[in-house]
Amino acid sequence: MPKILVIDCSTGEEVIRDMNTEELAQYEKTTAELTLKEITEEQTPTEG
Amino acid sequence: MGSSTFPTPSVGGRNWVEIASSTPTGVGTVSFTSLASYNYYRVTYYGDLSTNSYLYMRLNNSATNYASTIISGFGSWNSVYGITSSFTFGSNGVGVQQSLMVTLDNTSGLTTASGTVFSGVGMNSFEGAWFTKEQINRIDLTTITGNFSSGTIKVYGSN
Repeated sequence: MPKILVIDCSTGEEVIRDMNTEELAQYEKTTAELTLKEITEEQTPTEG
Repeated sequence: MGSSTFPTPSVGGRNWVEIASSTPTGVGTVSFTSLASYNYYRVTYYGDLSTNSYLYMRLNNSATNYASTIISGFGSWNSVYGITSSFTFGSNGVGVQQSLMVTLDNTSGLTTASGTVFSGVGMNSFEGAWFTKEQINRIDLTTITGNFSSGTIKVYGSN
């Protein structure tokens, strides 16, 4: 389970915990998307 | 002809207030929560990431409706990312010795972002938009692979 450092900026409290269900869902969505994007970019370079 | 008044020069620059600072290790995500309301936010980071890693940023833990364009200083890549689930920085594996500065404008009807990633091997300039008027109250910064091992992340606010 990915770890997340949560900083409450109103109190300064810092906690390291496992991602909750919603956070994990967003994390997995983004990670999968970025992996796909990397593959796509590698296939379509443009010379600048 | 009426009298005219030369406009008072504005004070140069924006008065940024530091909201939070963190030097994370052993985690891949840092979440700044319960942010006070500001019109503008700035996020800065300098540190080492794993080779071929890079960063992405999510606002209010929302993974929808981000658009971004990155122009890379490598001279060989021009990326338009379209609609994605995050703002992404430092792609193409420039995660080592990477510094990041992003300014978020929360006042324009939608949230827009601009920023730059500097690294030892190139530079990425970034423009993006998060399609919402929602007030920012949380900023998450995540490495695509590995954990933060050095460096400090700072969050600033300004009106």
